[in-house]
Amino acid sequence: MELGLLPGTEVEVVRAAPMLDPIELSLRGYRLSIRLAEAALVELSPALELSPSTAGRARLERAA
Amino acid sequence: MKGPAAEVASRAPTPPERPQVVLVGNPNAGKTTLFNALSGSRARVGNYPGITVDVRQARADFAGVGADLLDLPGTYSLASRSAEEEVAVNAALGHGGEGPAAAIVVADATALTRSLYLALELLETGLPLVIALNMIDEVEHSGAVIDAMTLERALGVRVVPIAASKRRGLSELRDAVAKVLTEGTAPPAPDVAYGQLTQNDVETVAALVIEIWPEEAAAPRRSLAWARWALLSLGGDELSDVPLRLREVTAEVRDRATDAGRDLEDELIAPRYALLDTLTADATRQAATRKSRTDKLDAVLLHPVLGLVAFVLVMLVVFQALFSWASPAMNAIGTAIAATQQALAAVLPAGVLADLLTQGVVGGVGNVLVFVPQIALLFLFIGFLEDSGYLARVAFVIDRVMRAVGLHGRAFVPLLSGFACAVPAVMATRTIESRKDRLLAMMALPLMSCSARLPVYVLLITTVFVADRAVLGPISLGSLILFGIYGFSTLASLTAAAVMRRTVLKGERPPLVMELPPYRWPQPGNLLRAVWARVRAFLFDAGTIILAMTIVLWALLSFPKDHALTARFAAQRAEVTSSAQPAAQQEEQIAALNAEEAGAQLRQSAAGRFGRLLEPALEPLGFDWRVGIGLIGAFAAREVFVSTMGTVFGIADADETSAPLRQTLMRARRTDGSLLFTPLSGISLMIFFVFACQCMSTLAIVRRESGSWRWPALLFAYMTGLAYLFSLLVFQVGRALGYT
Repeated sequence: MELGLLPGTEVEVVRAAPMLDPIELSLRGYRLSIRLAEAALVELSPALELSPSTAGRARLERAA
Repeated sequence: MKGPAAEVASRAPTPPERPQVVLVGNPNAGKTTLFNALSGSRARVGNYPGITVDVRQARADFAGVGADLLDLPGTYSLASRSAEEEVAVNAALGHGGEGPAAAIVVADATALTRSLYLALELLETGLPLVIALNMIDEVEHSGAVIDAMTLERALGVRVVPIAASKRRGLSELRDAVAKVLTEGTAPPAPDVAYGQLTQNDVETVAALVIEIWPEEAAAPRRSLAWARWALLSLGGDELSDVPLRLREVTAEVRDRATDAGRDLEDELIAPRYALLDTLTADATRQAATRKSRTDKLDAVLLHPVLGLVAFVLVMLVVFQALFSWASPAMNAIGTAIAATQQALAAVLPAGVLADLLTQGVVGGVGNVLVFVPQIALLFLFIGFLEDSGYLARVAFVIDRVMRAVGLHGRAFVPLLSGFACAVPAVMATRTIESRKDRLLAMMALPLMSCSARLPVYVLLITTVFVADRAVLGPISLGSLILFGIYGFSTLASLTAAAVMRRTVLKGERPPLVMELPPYRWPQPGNLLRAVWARVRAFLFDAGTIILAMTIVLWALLSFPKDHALTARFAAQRAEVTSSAQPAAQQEEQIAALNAEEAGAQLRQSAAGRFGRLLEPALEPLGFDWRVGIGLIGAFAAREVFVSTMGTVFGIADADETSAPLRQTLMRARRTDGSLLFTPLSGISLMIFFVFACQCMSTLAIVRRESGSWRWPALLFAYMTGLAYLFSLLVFQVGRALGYT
């Protein structure tokens, strides 16, 4: 959280690791890796599942 | 020149202590590069006892103002959970008058908001500081423009754009630090919009902070900062040294907030980022226009297919380096030690003292030095991977696999290094952040079959099997067995990790929320300094333990001496020299007598007697007391088993390829007349070596890296226990099935 993964933060799912987990996020100008199990704890809007297949932008609704 | 003048000088009052300046910043923000640039190369590495966190310290001159510069471990915030972060926070804040005089916050300009978060937290404490806006060259290259003046006006402190790796902006930075040091005034408090309820909670905890540390009462800002620190850090942390009362009250306050449907963590962090988001938006005059080098590289290095290929290639190079490239240097050290031993033996009068010096002391120094090439090489690679940014990607790529056994993605490189040698591998676990994850890797990796086990396997395979018999086309029986052993050891290591994750090192797995830093060229100076720091730490901390253990082991294998034996062999030697045989034949006989005497002395030494004592315990595994002596000798290092067996059986200069040793072992019989080395007892012994912690150096380094004897003791107990159990199982089941 102190890395800036906060409600309202705009994040982009950049890619998934070769074995599909963890995934790489881009936020506030830097890159972060996070396991899917941990990513599942955050809610996104628009209703976008954080999964390897959904690369794209989203806004963080609620953090873990 | 010792004279009256010197005495007067020594009685003169000591000059006031230099002020302390701490370097704080996120990991990968270029702190170490800046430290080296500001201080030159005369850094001392301090080590916090018990938790093995290195803090480098050096004198630095800030435009005429001298100061002690401290390079603190990288941290993303003042909220600390790990030992490293705790060191950073304690050194940055301190209690009472013990804190630093000023701080340089190294901010990564390419990740401005996140970097300023740490600066903001420090501003809240009131510590005089300067912000070094590092990597400004990368920002310019990307086409973005950041206005430092806007940041300065908003934060009320100097913000100096620098490029530490190019020595840019350093004199401005020195001037700014000098000004802060001479003035010593606290910066204005940042205007973070915490809610009223949050403020109340912070004040409740702050009141207790003042109660615990009364000296904090003088600066209310600091007690509030400590209160926020407690609310964000305590609970699920790995911190030592936190007063119990503070933990209790913090938990109470937080629980009350949670019950009221509030999230205190969120309430503390979000307003800070809200302030910083506005600020960075104001200060960023132009956004990046160019696609970064990192994006282009990651398109390949993290590609689903190419990424795996790159990963395998990089790991192969590291592995090959440890396994092969280090050998010439290791052999050279071995040769040099042997030459020193010979030279000393030639000069010193024969006797106990000469033996102590040559075999105990010089041999022990050799046992320590022989690790240096592998340690240096491994840390050169790790340093390169870490500083270039790829090490985080290694963890990213392989985390899925490592997680299956409860290990962290960062444990991969240490585990792989374990195939070469557990000592550098254990040292490499430092790249893992959480202490629990680090201990888990440390406990599991000594089961990986290291290169010191290889000579033992080779000797045993060639003794009990027809090793070069082809079984599967070009594959020989020997290589098939060897392959099986390596596979088995890897499986054992991963299983051990999985079991320990569920038992002794149980607990919530820390999340893998990890920055993937931009790719950057490592600074050769930083790499070499880091390698030297690791080698030094090994030599002085683990090296002394290894040296002491070598001497003890030497004494066990040499004493007591049987003087009747010595006299008998001396008489036999005299007989040979006085005989009329040709010189060459005489020499041969003397050498045979020497080997025989060494064997006889070893058999009745303390270790020899201990070996006999162990025999009842070793018999069910298929070993006898002579193997027991070999196992005791092999505690120095596994490959010593081979030469110890040579000595026990009276064969001079034995190594794993020596035919006389192999033939003697093949013929060796137990007291009941049965063969000692059969395929079954050979496999049982190899299995024993797969598991057993026959390596004092591993224990010494685990002691150093874990900070207590508890972990090496556990390591030794569980590995030896498994070794005994599996050997017993193999031998007894094998025999019951009718194998020999």
